[in-house]
Amino acid sequence: MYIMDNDELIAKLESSSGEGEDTLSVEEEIIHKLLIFQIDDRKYAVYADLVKEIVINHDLYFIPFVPPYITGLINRQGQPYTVFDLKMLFTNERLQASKVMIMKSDSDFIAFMITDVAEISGIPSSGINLVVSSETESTFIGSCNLRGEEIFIINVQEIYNRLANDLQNI
Amino acid sequence: MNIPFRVSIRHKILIGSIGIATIACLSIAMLSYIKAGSIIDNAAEQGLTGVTNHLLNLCRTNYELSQKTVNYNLNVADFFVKGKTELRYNRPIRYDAEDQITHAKTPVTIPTMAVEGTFVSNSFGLVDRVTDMIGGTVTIFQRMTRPNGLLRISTSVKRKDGSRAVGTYIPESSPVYKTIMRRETFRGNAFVVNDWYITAYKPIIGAGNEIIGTIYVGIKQSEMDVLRNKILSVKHGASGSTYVIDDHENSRGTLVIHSSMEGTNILDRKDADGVAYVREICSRKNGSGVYSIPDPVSGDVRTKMLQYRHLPEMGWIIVAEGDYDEINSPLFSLRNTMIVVGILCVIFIVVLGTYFSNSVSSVVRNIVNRIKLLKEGDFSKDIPGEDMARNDEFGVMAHHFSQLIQNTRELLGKVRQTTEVLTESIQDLTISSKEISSTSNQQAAAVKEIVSTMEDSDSLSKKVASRIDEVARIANQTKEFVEKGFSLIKETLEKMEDIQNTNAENISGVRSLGTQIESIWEVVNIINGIADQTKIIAFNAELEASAAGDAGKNFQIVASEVRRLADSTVSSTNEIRQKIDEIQRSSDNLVLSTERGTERIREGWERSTKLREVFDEILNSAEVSAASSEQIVASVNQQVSAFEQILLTLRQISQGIDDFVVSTRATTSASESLKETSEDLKASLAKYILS
Repeated sequence: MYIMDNDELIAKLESSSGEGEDTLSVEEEIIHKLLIFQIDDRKYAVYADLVKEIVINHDLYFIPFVPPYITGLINRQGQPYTVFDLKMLFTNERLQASKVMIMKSDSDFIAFMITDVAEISGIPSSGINLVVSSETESTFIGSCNLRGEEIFIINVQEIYNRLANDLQNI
Repeated sequence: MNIPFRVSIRHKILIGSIGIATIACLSIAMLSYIKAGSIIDNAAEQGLTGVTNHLLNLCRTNYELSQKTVNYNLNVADFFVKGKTELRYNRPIRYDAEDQITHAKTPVTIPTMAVEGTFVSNSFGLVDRVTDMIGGTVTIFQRMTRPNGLLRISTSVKRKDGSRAVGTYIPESSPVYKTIMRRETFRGNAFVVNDWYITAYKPIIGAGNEIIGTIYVGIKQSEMDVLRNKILSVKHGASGSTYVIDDHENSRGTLVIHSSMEGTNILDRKDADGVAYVREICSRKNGSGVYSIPDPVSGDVRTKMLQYRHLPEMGWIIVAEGDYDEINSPLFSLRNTMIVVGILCVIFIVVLGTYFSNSVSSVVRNIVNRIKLLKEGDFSKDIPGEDMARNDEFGVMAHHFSQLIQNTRELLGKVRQTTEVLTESIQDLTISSKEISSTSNQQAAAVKEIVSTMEDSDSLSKKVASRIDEVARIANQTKEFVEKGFSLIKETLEKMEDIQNTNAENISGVRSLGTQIESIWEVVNIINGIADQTKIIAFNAELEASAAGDAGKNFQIVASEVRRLADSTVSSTNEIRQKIDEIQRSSDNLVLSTERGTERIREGWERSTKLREVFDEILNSAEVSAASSEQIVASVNQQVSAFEQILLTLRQISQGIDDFVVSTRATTSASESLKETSEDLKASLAKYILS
């Protein structure tokens, strides 16, 4: 991978300031920022604006009497976030990972345990295929094709709703 | 000794007893006679010795007393002349000086001598007066020269014719003269004119202190009457006598004291055997002897036993004489008595011998008759009872002989019975010995076969021994080879151990490399973690930039580059990780291969160790094998030796059996001879009459 040096970076920054509308130069298509992440070797995506931050090697606190896809809690700047194991949710197998993707939310403090963050990619709306008909589809919003690889986009809200239902039923 | 004629016991006893008695009596008589003679001779000799010793002591004592008297007399005589004597040269006097020894005369002229003014030459008043006072003889000598001597000028000494011995002189050769010339006094025995005197001479010193003369006093030895009488009175036996012989040089052999022949010189007198016994006596001076001396008066020859002793002071030899026949008269009487007694004893013994011989011969005759019968084989008759009833050895003999006849009779009976039994037994023995001979022949043949077999075994054993020797040699060689292999294995093990150690070092090095790789891995992980965190931070920055919209566009670019940088770092770390993985895989492979190699080496070492153990066992086995081979060799050699000994023993047994066969044959032959002999014995015994 080619890494720009400082001069090139400054030159690109200067050039990009004149191209503030490049993202809109694609004729009226909205570019969605998708954060591509990996759970084990599977890639998934979420809307980047739903992600607050990604932390690594954060202490995880186990919570008893919770659904198995709830790994535990992390304390991020005094705020507890519930950590979801998407692998357990999708495959019923526990995920061994050290990165946690903290989601933005005013009321639900959710985080997902992920293996790695691949990239933040801008995907036009036309490149996103929405999925609405099945239960799994409710977990995923849709999928996109990134460099020939089909990546599902996780429906974060749905996961929030499921958690609430499950917690009520406990 | 074969006696040509028959002599009966009786005569033998008689002759024997007479002979024994006679010999005994004669022997006793002879011994007694000889012993008695010896005793008598010793007694006589001792008696004569006693006499002579007694007379010797007597004479010596007398001499000493006389000498003392003479010494005293000299003092008296010297009183008269000492210091009062002088020579008158103006009145010489002439003498015909006569040597008192040679009687040679020499005319001399000498000055006269005066004593107190009175001439004494040829004057005898003084000497006579002194003689009257002291007795003996007195002489005044005057010294003369040419010839040298001491001249008697006044003396009371008389010649044989009775005249005074004036004019005689003592020659210079005399010890008297020599003593006087030394101005000394002479005391002792001296020859004076014609006899020997006990004397004392003293020099007369003149006014000029020269010797002018000598004064003499003396006593004639032979005129010591008491001594003389004593000597003559002593005698041994009735016909014994004593006398004195003069031993002085010029009068040797003269009888000084004798009962009838005083003054006679008997030096050349000889006895009846021609022995000059007087000369012998004078030569020996002390001793004894037996001589056949003819009587000077009657001429009868008598055997005399003489004992004599020398008195050197007086020059005398004192002789005691005993008559031999008188001395031995008891012996002759004893002899006669013993002859009579012997004859009587012989007569008595003849009578007694006759009686005993008759007594003995009758018993012997009876026994002889019985023996004749026994010789003819008649054991049926016994000895007469009266002979057996005797209370002496013959009775005992007759009794025992009778017993002997009875025992012999019984013995012959038993022998006859035994002979019959013996004959039967010998018959059986002959049969048995024949059988034994046959059996021993068979045994001899069998033993010979055994010997042959053992010889084969012996040769085989020797071959085996030689083979075993070879095996032992090979075992020893094998042992040497094994030892060599063992040493090679040992070297190999040491090398493998070195390889193992080197391998372990390699593994250790590889492990160390792995450790370092792990440390690199840790660094890479750290870098990776940092890159990852950087990437996360970049992502977060990108998220913030994305949330910021256009305002965060540049920030997004920076974040994107940072992310790309982080990705690049991650990618690089991944590459590094891959490389490290590769290195680690390689090192792991290397470790694995090394460990496999180590394992192989360990297996090889274990195999080698096992091989060493095996070789050890092989070596032990080889040693044991070699030792066992040697033991086998020794055992086989012992066996060979034992075989040889067995073979030798068997040969000896064979030889013994052969000898046994021979002896069995001899036994058979002997038993047959015995059989013949027993039959002869039986035939011989058949002729004896036992009842």
